[in-house]
Amino acid sequence: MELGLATINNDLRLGPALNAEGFSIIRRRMMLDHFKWDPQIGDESVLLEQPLILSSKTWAELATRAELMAAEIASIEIELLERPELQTVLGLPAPLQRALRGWANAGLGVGLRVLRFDFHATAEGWKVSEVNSDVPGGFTESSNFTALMAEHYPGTRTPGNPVQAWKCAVTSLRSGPRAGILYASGYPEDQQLVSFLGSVLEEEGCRVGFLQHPQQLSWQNGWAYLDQQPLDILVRFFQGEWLAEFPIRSGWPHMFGPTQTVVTNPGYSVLAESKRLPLLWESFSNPTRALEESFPQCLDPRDIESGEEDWVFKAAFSNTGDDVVLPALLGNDARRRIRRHIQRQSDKWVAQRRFVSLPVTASSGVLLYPCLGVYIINGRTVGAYVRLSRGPVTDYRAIEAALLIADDREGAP
Amino acid sequence: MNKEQVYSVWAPEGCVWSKWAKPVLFAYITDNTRMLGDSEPEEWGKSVPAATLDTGMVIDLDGPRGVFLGVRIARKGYCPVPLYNACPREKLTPSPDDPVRLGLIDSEDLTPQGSAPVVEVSSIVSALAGAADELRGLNVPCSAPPAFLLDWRRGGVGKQVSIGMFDNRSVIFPSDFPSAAFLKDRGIRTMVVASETHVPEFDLASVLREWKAAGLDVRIQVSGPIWAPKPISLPEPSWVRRAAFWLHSHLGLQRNFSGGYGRVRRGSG
Repeated sequence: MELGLATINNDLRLGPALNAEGFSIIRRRMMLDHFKWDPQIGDESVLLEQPLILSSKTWAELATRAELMAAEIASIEIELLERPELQTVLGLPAPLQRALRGWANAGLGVGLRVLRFDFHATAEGWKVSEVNSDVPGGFTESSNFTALMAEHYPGTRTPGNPVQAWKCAVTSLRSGPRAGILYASGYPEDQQLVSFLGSVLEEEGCRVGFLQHPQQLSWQNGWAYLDQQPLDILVRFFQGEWLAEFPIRSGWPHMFGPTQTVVTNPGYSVLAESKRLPLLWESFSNPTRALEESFPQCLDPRDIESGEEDWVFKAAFSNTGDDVVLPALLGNDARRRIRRHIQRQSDKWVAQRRFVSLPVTASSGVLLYPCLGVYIINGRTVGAYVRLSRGPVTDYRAIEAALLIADDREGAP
Repeated sequence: MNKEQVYSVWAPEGCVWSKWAKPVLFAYITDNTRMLGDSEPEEWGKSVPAATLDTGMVIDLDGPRGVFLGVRIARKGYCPVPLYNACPREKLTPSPDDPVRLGLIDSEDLTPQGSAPVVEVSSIVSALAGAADELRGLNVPCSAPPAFLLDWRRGGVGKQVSIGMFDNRSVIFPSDFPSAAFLKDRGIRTMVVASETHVPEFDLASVLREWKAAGLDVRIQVSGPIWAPKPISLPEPSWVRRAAFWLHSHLGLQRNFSGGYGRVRRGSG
């Protein structure tokens, strides 16, 4: 698969801005009907009035690439569960490693798995900065915002609707299930997302309960109980490494072993969430070719002796750009402090070779660097979540856009 | 009025400050939302002078009192901007077999599974809905200076939090407000905080500190009969205070429920 520079330059662009009135209506619908409760950061609107438009050929290539990587991850997860010595390399907290032991020889069974691969257009072709394997977010923006924007751009289509696909996957497991949604308090974007997922499930006749602490569940024979009622599905919107900070007596380890209640994402998803996963490519007996081709080179921080400005340092478990360090952007003092910190905990960090992202130009003239998060649900590509940053790191200040696919296929109207 | 209409009153199209209005409480307005009227004494807020284009306000008062004062000073030419950021409950509408749906309990009085919210904000929802008619009639001009409305109890003041409660505490960050540069560009030179106490909460203090460092004159007025805002002292917090804030907004949430629901912006990827 060739995803070179020419392809990117020709095939990825920002479409024209939607007129102010039309965009204002969409923004208000997102806020009042679609759980987008954080539409503004400082002086900037979080939602961009221009869609990102990708050629159908490139979208097909990215979708295929994401499915190949998802298949490879599924096979190496089994290997990781059978070879706990590899888990240590991932920087996985010890309590999580212990909790995952229950999977040994258990088989992964039927479940519901969501992944999101974050693609970046670079001078060397498309690169994947990370896979959101454990708790991927962005559902309302990638589903509802994209659909609302698409109505105004004839000649384009959406790349899918992740939340519709998720809903279908949930309801195909059990009809009219009783579901619990576990999430961490204190995070507005998580609160709005779980409220959204809860409402989607209720539309399908599910009975939904929310919980913010694993101790609100009791466990019996692999079933999770909430308010004395067994749950068919437990939506775990709570990062594995955060849960591992609770005392064992809170019962969180149940979620990380085989269960009768379908836990999604399953506990073993935390393995591929580690940013240190690429350090293991050569250790796996299963193929990792698509992953190796897509990820930048990664090294243990201890192996970086010079030229650290060519590298990005990431904590093994980090979210939305927190704990991502670019030495090239730091002054000497800060760089020394960070270097000492990372060297002291090098088994919790990874060095990823920097790539040169290619920007798109907004109608305001500002250069924006796109990150295309391609969702996979149970092995199939179902949509994409776009964030655009003003700098080299996609963090909480990134703005969000709809990804639309140019309907340039042969035979398209 | 439905939720769209109420929101349009509080965040009118074309008003420069509307984009900062937080939508979450408006999303919870339903046909069952009760209207809460202003029950404060008639004299309250009368001492606030008429708006001038160079002075904005932050109203940091307990629960619906912020809404009430917001409307009272809208009569004097200010543009109230709700910055309430906490969820009243986890579900937008109650389940079909909930007592609310059956008409046994008011929808604002309970959350699903009977889990009580740490911070009671349903009265603010009711106050926003209840004041919408009057605010619409005031026709606040688009050029009016802003008055940002906050709930003084957003951090869970005086509340014990236990497992099973709906933890909806919130903190605010500078990114919840316009920048000092934006305010100055709009002609704002002074920001007055109307507060329940002489010392702003740690999260608001961090916002005010940024504004002050950027050259805005920041003053505070404790709720009372005489309007005489005083210059505010905002010393850099001690390392203990900074550490406590960091823990409060980053770590405590998962570890011991000492944090809250706010724009920590550190959620899942």
